[in-house]
Amino acid sequence: MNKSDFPIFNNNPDLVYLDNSATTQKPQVVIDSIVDFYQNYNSNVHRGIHKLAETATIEFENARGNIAQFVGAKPEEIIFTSGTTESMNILAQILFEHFKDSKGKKTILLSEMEHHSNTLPWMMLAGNLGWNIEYVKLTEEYELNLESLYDAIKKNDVSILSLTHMSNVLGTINNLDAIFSKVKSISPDIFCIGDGAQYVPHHKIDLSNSKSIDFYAFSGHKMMGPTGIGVLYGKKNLLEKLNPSKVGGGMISTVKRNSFTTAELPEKFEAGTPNIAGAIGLSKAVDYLKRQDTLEIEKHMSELTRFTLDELRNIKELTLYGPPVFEKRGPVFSFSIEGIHPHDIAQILDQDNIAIRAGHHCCQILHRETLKIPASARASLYIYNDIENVKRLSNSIKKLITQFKR
Amino acid sequence: MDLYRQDMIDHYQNPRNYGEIVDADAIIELENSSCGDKIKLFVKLKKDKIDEISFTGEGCAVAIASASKLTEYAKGKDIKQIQKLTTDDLLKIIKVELTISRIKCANLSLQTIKKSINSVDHKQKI
Repeated sequence: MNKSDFPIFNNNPDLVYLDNSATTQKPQVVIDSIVDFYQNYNSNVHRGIHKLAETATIEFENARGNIAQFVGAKPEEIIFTSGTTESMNILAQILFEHFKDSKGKKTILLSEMEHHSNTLPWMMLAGNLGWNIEYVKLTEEYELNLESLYDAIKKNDVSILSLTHMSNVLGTINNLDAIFSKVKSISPDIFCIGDGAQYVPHHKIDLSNSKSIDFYAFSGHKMMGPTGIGVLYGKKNLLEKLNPSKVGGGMISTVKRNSFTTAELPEKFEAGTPNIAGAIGLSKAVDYLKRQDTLEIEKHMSELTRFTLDELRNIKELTLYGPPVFEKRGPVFSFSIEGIHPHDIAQILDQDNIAIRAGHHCCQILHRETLKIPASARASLYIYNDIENVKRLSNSIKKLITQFKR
Repeated sequence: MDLYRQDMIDHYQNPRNYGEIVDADAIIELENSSCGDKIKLFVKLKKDKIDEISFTGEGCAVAIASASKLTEYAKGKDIKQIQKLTTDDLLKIIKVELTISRIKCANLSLQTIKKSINSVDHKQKI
């Protein structure tokens, strides 16, 4: 990995980009692959006879295969969406179709650390089905309270459990495989869903090895791919049984006046022309990640996480949220400073060319009920960040604290 | 011009006209849902003029300092004059240049003042 692989850093040499949980920067190879598609073989995929359509279809399906292999899935288990948010919305609609004639008031179980994209689709589904929604509380160390999670499962009315694999505010990593396995040992029929938007960019995942993750969602743009492309993964046997919620071109086998039959997986769930350039770009981002020395990247990120934790903890005016132990968290650091609003922190850091984010980070429930603050400032790191970047961050924070000193 | 120059921080940390008016003619609270900033405005009119004005609330330096400076400006002014104020006028009053994403922070107090004046106006007409 070389920082010069990313044109944005060549074009903005002084930029310290620490807003990676929101979106990551793109290497030249990803940008080139999108231009290449539109310049050299732009065409719609599937059912085209001409050469361009053939090339586009091959590249698009190769992209699916490459992305599937990267997360340990079968190609037919990878449904292209516009991102995690759309993945969760589509899944909630598919499950509405599945449950709409079922009897009884069931529960959808989430946690207090979920992003709005893993909260609102379920809120809507619960509303449509007349079901309950419950949130697992967090421990004092900002981890899931597993005891209360399993207690909720034991009550036997939970039908859907959806949890983030890594919190976009706290950095907390949830061991979904272990949690979902335990859940299924108590109640095997629960649909277990993972939100991998923050986890996949940082960690290797092997979905074929997980017997308990039924569905999984992630976004391309948070792992150096383009915006507007993401994935909904589903276990093949489940996807085969479920019906699509989105219908139209590309997802059918035959259409008659009053009825239709669906295509095979994964087209069944992909109505309309897909984001072809996006899928190809994401596949190139996956190639870029695969070319890295995994051990070296892991070592770099864990050193960086430990260093950032120490740097920020040394600023006594700063309150840092998330697990205190660096092994239990990803490189996401949300914080607040008494007497200085997060928006002001972000604006002053921007004057020093340091890009962070301020607000509720699409986690209002977490901020209001757990952290009890309206907003926080958040610095989030990726593979191209280094110790120097973190030092610039902590120095600027110290400077602004002095500026606001009464 | 540096947004965080000393007078902005001073108005943020020592806001003028901060507090409640017990016998206010109107009390209006508005919230900026995207960032959680809240301004509660208290206003008392004498004929067509703003006789007393105060606010409470929480928010960023821009939101609080602009409420502080705007209430200072509004005291004693004709309500028609306040109702006509635009965002550009507001930026001149608080003497800062803001990026697009921060204009809404400053605007919260202007909206709250206008809404509270309108609500009194409306009541008087009834």
